[in-house]
Amino acid sequence: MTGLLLRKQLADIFRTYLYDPVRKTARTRAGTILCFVFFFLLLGGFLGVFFGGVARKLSPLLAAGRGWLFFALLGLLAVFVGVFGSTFNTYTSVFLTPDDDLLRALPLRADAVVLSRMLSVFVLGLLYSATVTVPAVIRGALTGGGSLPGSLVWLLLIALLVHALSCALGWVVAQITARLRNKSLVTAFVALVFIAVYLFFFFKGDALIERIVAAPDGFAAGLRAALVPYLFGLAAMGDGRSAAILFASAALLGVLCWLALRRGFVRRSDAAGLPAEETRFSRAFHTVRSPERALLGKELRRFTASGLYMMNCGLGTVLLVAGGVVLLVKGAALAEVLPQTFGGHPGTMAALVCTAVCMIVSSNNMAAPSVSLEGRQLWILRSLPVTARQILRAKLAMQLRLTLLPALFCGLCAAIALPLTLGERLMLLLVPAVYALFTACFALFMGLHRPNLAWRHELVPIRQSGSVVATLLVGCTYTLALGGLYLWIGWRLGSVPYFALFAALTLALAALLLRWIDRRGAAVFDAL
Amino acid sequence: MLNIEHLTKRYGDKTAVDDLTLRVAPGELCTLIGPGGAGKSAVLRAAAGVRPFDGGSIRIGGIDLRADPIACKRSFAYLPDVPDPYEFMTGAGYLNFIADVFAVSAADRQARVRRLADAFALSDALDQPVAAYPLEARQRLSLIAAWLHEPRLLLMDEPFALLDQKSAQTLRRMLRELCAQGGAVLLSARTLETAESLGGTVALLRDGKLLRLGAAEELRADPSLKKPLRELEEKA
Repeated sequence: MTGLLLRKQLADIFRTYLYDPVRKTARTRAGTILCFVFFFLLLGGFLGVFFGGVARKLSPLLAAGRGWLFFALLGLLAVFVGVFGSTFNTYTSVFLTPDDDLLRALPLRADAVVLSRMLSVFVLGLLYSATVTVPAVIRGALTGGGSLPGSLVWLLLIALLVHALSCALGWVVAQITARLRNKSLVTAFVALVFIAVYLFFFFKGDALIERIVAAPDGFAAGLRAALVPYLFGLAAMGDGRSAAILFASAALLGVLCWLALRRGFVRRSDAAGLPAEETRFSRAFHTVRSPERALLGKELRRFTASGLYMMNCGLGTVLLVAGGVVLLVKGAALAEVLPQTFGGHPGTMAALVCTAVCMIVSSNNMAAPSVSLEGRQLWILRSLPVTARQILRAKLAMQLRLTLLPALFCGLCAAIALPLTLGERLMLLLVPAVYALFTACFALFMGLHRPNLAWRHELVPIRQSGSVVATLLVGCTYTLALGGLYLWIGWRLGSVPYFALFAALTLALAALLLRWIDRRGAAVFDAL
Repeated sequence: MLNIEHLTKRYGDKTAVDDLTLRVAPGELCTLIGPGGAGKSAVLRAAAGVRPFDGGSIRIGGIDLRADPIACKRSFAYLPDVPDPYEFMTGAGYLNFIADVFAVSAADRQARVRRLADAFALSDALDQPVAAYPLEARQRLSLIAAWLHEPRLLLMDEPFALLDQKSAQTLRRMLRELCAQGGAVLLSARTLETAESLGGTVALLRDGKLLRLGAAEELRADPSLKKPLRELEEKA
């Protein structure tokens, strides 16, 4: 029975491999196999090769007789990867369990249900941690600096630790999520943290590994003091006592998790019928907004409610803020390098920074899918006493709010951090601001030109629509033209007149688009 | 209150509503009945300004819908056959959005939401996201939203189809109260029984045409309508 339930759990985790959510049909056998092949290629071919490279770089530790340090370091990495990979799956498969009532109605023991859920967590943790541990075991066996049976036990112990930590962190995620109103923001935040961690390792990982290999004593002392990584290192080297201690600890943690989850599963059955907390009317209904602000609020709510929408159409907001901070921190270093590039024409630095800021602004295109995203709920706006112009202006205002202020912040940071003339500083504020207005108008223009209200999954208008692709392409071409033309011939004009001319042209285009949106666009929206 | 003159609506080659004329006076409740494809939803969508129409005119409170749709929309509320409030909002968020658009004051919206949410047994769920609502709860939320600005005219497409018995009783009572206060209701129903239970006039549609307008008893008594009414009962 546990095996059957485990299959159900795994089928739920990999449901998108079995079922196409866009077409809402079951995948063909070949399609499912392809999905799994892609998944394992991603794990083995991408993560496995990447961490294999890390193991190779750390392998001098094996040759130097510090095998335990090699396995302790890679063990820590494996635990991080395993826990990061499986915590959210743990949350959805162990704590967010909409099928509790269904399972309770079946002749199943609570033990079997909980055990199957825990096993699914173990399998996922094992898969993710194996992207680090398997290359490490192979490297250890090839170098001959460790014990093969010991390293295999180490692999298993890591998976057990990942399992226990995933269960604990999954519980923490469940507690946080239960108290949060906007879960999508957290999803987007976690994704950004992952990108930041990835970039940190990408740019700093090599230097860190070189430092460890060159002077391992300090790191070894630190890990010894932390004890657990040291025990893992010793276990990998074949120390039976360390392996036994770790196994007993992991088993104890596993049993505690099992008891806690079992208790939770049984208790939820009593809590399921309780009414939710009574809504506090006076607090929930005390703010009155104008129809325009209500429409803008609706657009912003739509945007922040979907991680997919935020990550695909609003990443520029975060990048502009991050870019501003980077400019403040690394401005001096950039000021030394940038003026010498592309022929070293006067104003090159301002041109490159301005182009970069505008390029990031181009990645924000939330207005493009906003028309299609009305979808089958278009009737709501249609039956309300608001004009199409008000509705479209709200969509425009959403993109402007999320782009203009971060663009101004980024431009301001550049103006502060870089040694530019007063005119160039002003242009660094003016050009991105005008360009943000243009991109918002153009995105909405495209959204009105190519609406798709018949989608069944929001992925279609957000990622696969022609309006989004066209907006991105035109935005990138436009900004590349801005920088490219300056470096080619524009520098002869001088940076400030060139950018002022470009800003004026962009503003004129934005004004034309705005006029079209207010008149023709409103008519197009009314006719949808 | 609602004056539909020679309304025509086509979808491609198909004529969904064919030269339909219908008046709903203040205090009147009119129920559109007819088989699937008779044009009930098309009439309601056109009257609500949700879909444009090809011919004829619609006046609400004396104002032409095409000439001043905003003024018309301020006076009515529309409920489609499949209630679909914004899933990305909470129930309270959705009601606030509707109240903001209709400029309902904070005091009024608090009082009305409290009363309506209690009536439709949705008070405990208002702080939950609409995405978590079952279809029937979405219908109740849409009904609360429809009443929030105290409209003078209600346009409702099969409002009873998804409701439980208690909510259906509440809705019947509220519709009668609205009519008693001088409001008007145009709704659609699947069966003559539903129309009968509401009282008022019944408009029998078939292939986009108005076959007969009158009280439910008059329709039953008309021998020429026996066949279409029997077909209607069978299909329902």
